[in-house]
Amino acid sequence: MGPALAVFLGVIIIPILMSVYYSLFQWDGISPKVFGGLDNYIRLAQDPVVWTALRNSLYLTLGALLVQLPVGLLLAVLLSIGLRGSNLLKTVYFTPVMLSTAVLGILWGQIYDPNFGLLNNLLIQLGLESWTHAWLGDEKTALLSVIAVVAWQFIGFYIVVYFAALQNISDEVLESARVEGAGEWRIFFKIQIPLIWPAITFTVLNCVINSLKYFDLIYIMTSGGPNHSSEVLASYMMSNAFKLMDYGYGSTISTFLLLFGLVLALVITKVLGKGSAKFQ
Amino acid sequence: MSSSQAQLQPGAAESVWARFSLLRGKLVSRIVIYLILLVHLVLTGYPFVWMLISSFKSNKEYFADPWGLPTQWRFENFVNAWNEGISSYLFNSLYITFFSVVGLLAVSTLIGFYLATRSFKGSKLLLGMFLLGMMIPVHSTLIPLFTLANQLGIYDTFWALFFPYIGFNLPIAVFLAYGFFSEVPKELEEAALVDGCNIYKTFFYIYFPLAKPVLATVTILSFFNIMNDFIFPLIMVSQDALKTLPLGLMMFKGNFSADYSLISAALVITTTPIIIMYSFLQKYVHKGVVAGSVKG
Repeated sequence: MGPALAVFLGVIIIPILMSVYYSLFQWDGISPKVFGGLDNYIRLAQDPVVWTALRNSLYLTLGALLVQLPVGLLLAVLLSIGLRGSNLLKTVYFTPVMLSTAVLGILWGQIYDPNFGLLNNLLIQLGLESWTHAWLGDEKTALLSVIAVVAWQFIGFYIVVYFAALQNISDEVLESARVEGAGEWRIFFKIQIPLIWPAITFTVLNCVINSLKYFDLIYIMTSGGPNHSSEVLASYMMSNAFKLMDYGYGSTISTFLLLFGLVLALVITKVLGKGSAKFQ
Repeated sequence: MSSSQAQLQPGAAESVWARFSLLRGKLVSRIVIYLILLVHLVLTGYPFVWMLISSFKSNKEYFADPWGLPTQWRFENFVNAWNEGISSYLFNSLYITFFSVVGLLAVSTLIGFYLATRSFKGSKLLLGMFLLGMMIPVHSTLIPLFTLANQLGIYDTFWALFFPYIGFNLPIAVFLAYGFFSEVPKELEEAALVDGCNIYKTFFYIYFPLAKPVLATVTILSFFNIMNDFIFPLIMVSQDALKTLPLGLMMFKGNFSADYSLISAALVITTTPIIIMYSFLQKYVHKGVVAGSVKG
């Protein structure tokens, strides 16, 4: 038991506490720390980029909740009918989840490439030349372009989670509902949805938390730019700490990210918990 | 669609008509379903097909027509990408992942076993703390981990990756191991005790072999997690001998930013082993993902 606990404390618990401690100082990592109390937190509250980051996380969350989950659920339901080839399709749909975001970020960077990319080329071929864009280089489209790739990657994850949940519903329940004359839509909303509610709760929680702490594709595809337009908290923390060497402020953003995430998780579990009580 | 059966009216002619429309309805809905599935298949799969085709092209062909096939299939793109660093990044990834997964399995099964079979005051609290670890964003720990690694003198060593990989994969591994071991009937351990096994023997000869399915799940989940990670190499190491594939790929892209088909070849080399492994282990991967997702 010792080693696991030691690693867990050393890698997660102690760094978290240190991060809270650092957040109270002005520190560049080299010269001595200068105690600043809550100065960094006041700066955080007044920092427009932090607000942009929060707004961007909200967009990421909305993209996840409105695109990934519904599409994932729809496709899971269609696959669960058990038509021929369903299993193979499920395997392919899940593939992007297994791949490194570095690969996906570079691949999609090539697709979005303003000069030689697939997307602009497709638009030109369709006669929509005016729609072509420097997708990742334009403040207006950078975030949306990344959100699209995040959705593209993770729909497969939700398909697999929902599919497994749907498989757990016994055929007898569905059969007897059909015998009683329930239509497919009614079965979906009155039987399947309530029965997979725990999975839905999990996925909603997962979406919100992951969107808040999202980092990978943003860092690889836009590094938060241009002009902070696609910044999220984690990418802003990274550039403050490891580019600008402002460890104090970086730690403040880290601490805020952690606390905000925990509070959100608590609230969502409470709210959705009530939702599931309603169904019983 | 099949529900319309319930609304069938008596009367032969009507019933035949109803049956016919039912069949037709089934066929139509089947076609619609396949169409939707096909659209998503193309959206998911085509980028990979495109990546594969691009990797065989010359840059000239790539720039001239991104959709077209290469006139000549250039295998030398792969040779070049392999020799320009991808091979060593792949090797780094494999050995770092291997040792981290082995370490993770050792410590997580031990503590899972201990918490499940030797409950003590505070064991539930300890378990809860591990589970809470799943909620901790990696990024909230990066600055202290970086300064700690520097103070301990392990910055830019294998250990600067090894310990974080174990730490951040522990929560899910402990959760799965604990869940499994607490299902094993108590009688088994008592029998082992009667037969003269001490706690270590009981663990290594009885519980550990039993836990194969859990070990497989943990191995698969953490293997892909670690193999695909780029944040720890980015922060914790600087020498080339420790850069794993994802970070290495980003460096590679930086070095050859104008050589699009070479980059495509590098992407293909990187994804192929993962896709092959995934397609063999597909069932276990999906199981593991689901097992990790029902913690609510």
